[in-house]
Amino acid sequence: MVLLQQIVNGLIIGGIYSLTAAGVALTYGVLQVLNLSQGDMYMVGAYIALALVVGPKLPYGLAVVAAFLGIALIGLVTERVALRPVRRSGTIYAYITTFAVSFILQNVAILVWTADPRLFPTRYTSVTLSVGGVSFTLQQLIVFIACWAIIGALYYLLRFTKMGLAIRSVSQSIDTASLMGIPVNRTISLTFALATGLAGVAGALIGPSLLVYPAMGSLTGMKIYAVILMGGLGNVFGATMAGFLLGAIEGVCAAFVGSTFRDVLPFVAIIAILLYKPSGLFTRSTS
Amino acid sequence: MEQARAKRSFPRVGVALLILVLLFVPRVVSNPYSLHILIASGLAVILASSFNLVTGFTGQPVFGMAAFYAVGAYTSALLAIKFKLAFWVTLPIAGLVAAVLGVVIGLPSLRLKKFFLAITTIAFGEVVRLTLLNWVGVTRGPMGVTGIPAPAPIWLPIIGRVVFNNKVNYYYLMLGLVVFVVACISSIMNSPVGRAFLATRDDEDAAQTCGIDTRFYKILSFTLAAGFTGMAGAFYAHYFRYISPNSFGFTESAMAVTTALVGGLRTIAGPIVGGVLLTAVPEFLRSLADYRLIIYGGTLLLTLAFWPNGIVGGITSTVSRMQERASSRAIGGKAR
Amino acid sequence: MVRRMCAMILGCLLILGMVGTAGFAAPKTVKIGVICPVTGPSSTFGTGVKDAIAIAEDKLKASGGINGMQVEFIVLDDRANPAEAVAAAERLIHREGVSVLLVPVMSSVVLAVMEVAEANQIPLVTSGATAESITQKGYKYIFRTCATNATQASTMVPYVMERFSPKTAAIIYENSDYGVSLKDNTTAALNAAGVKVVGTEHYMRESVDFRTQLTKLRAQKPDVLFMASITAEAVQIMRQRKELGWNDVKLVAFNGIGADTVQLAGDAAEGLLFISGFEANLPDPVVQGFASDWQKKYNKPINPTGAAAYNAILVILDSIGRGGSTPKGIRDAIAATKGFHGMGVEISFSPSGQAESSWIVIEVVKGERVIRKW
Repeated sequence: MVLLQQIVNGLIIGGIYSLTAAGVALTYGVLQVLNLSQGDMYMVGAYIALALVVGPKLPYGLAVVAAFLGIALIGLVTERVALRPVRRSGTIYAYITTFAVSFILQNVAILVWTADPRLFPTRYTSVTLSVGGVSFTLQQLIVFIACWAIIGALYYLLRFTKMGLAIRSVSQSIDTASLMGIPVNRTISLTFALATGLAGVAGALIGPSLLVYPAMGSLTGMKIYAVILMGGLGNVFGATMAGFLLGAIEGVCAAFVGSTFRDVLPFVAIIAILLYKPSGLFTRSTS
Repeated sequence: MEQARAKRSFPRVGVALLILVLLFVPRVVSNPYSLHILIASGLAVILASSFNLVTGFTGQPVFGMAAFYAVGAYTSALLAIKFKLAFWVTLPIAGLVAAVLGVVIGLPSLRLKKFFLAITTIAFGEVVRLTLLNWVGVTRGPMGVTGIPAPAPIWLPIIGRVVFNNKVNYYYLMLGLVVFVVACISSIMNSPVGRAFLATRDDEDAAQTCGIDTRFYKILSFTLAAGFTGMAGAFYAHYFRYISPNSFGFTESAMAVTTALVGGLRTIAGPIVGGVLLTAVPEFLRSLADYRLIIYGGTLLLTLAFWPNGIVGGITSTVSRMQERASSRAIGGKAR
Repeated sequence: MVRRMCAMILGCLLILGMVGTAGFAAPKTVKIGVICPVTGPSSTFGTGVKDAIAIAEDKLKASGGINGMQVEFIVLDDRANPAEAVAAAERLIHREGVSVLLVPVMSSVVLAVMEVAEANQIPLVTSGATAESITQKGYKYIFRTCATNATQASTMVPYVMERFSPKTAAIIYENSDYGVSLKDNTTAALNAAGVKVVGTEHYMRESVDFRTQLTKLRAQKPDVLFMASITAEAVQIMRQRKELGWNDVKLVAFNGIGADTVQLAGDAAEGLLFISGFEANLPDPVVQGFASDWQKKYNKPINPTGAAAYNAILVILDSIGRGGSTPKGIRDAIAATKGFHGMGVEISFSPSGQAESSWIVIEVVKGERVIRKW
């Protein structure tokens, strides 16, 4: 019973990891860059959705879409000012520029919305469901389903569309892709916008279950690294699977071991995975 | 021939002059606040220079410098409090302990490359921080270590007794530490060891073919960088006289990276320029309060957008471009 | 070569820049330096403090200062980082020439900054750093207007015993100096009262998922759940507890929360008992005045950190009135404070600099905050 509840707890938080990690993995796949501002994009996404639900009383679903578009737009700008100028200087520089973007977004959020935490009211948060003694809210169920829907949509996009083909070829080799006549700059911009947009959706989906405040993005960070490493760097589906897996492991761990270990777990996982199988758990080893 | 020698001896004169100027700073700058910023810049310079040694010169990205910083600080502080050892004893011990940790954190570099290594070092850094946070019996956990003594007074020839009860003496101590670390790194880079580091960075396979044991040199660069950073940590502990796991988080690691990159990776001067600038600029911005970090972030973006190789790299390439233009003009003039 | 030259030139320029800006302020206005997190994850503290300062500034403007002296607040950001806070303190003392420092929150920051304050003989007042060690070092210039973690436990536990006479208790706490010392003090007080602590679970600051810890604690069936948590985390703990359907437990919290927390948690905070240094419903003229000013200016629930800081500001302003504008004068005046009427409390300082103030126990009944013990 307790164990089952812990696994469900893990899957709920795993949904958060998955959605955020999918975007980071997508960015890494194309640019070999870890976007350190993903967590802050997620935070701004939550604020955009919140503003639309509270202000013009937009339906929640529309607010989620708006958060996607809004953050995708911020992503486009970020790619242009923070990533493109340093694309040729090496990935380490992108690390600093995305870190700077994270600084800027977080502090702009404090200026615009103040640091006071806010409630994100939706109809679904107050509905608690109980199945066989295991409890969760309707909102959490929605997040879980939306997560899979988005993963499905991503899969379709990457596998079966022209844009997906372009993204995949750019991620294999920028130079070859440009020789094949693929508009590399545009593809990279769009991929980055898509990846950050995912963070926006994640924020809009998860905001109601938690609180919305400028520092809410710091939950990503290390855990997201662990997730995308488990999934295999740049492997979007591996990352989403690994997100749920890490959540579930955490839940089980907390049940049997202590919280101290739960905090250390992602880092131990990173070290162990990298030393054992650097290409990630969900990939067939190629090199 | 003569010219070449003059060219080579010029930097020495320059460095000597710079150190001379720095020695006289406390004569002119008496405000403890300004001295504090200079001392804090010194810490940043050591961190960034050490980071530059492994990452810039040896090509092994380390994003967990705070781990060495923290271990140095805790080692020195705890030895000074529990065993009443003098700072002059705990400082080298802190460097040694951190260097040993450097070997451990360096081991994955034998197997992992680039970002995989970077992430592993971040993870190691966090494991160290969480250990300090949860090992309450030894580190006092989140409560931090208070009552760290100031360095014991020392007697120096000519100068006499030096007591660490003012910023000026801490400034000189910091200056000494910075000069030591930078001189070490610079002489290493001018030695066969330094050339082995560069070879390891530029092409590992080629280096190995030439008989360079790249595995040894990778670990060596980790060890050295960790040792230097550990000593900076020891200074931190005895200067601020209070440490907690809070002081050595991911932000500190990221700052070391930022400092070196903005100043100019792969140069000796880059981390120095970066350390001073990135410590001083936020202080100037402090009165802007809410806008401070936004402007700071914006400045980082702009700097790297215009000078992708950092400030020193940018200036060097601008100057050499100008020189080239000048010399080609001169040659053109002669031909005419 | 060129590189080194450039580095040299830059270094010299910077040094010159610093020399040029050094200087002291004229003592006509009394400057109060405030160090608090305005940016970063803890910025909600800084927001509250800045809001409270704005109210104090309005009052000072209306009354034309103290004894003809103007009072100026200089707020600097420390990102809740001890090293940054020390830099801020050096700047406030040596550059801005402040006569007194207010460091409202974060024990780790106060512990680092108090070294600077004591060495420079500038009085430092904290209104919310609750670690015992702050006033145990025998420093002459350090004062605290709130009570310590030990007194929180010794106020709350007897009251909980009297109300519910529980057999078992569990504690969830943040893994920081604040949370750990509250957990230790509460555990000791509970053990002394014969209550069995059946589980303690901690979490890292800025966590958002507490369901795993709560599920684990729930399995131990404690009668009371103590939370050593701060605003955002406390709200999420209470809400996630409700989502898990864990309703048969008494919730008890400490001074990390306030009116804003209660409002954000909504019906998840029903029945919550908590401790505070401030309560807007207190029948006290100073408190009522502050509460109505706050309501008029911001129209949002009062931030407890801000209210606590306002209490310290009242003490500081009173001391400036009695001791003048010099740090020494203000320090002596603060130390001599006897029975000063602050925010619903009579403030006097012990020789160690600790105010003999007490905590208010508040219960949330039907969404309203009801004072249970004062």
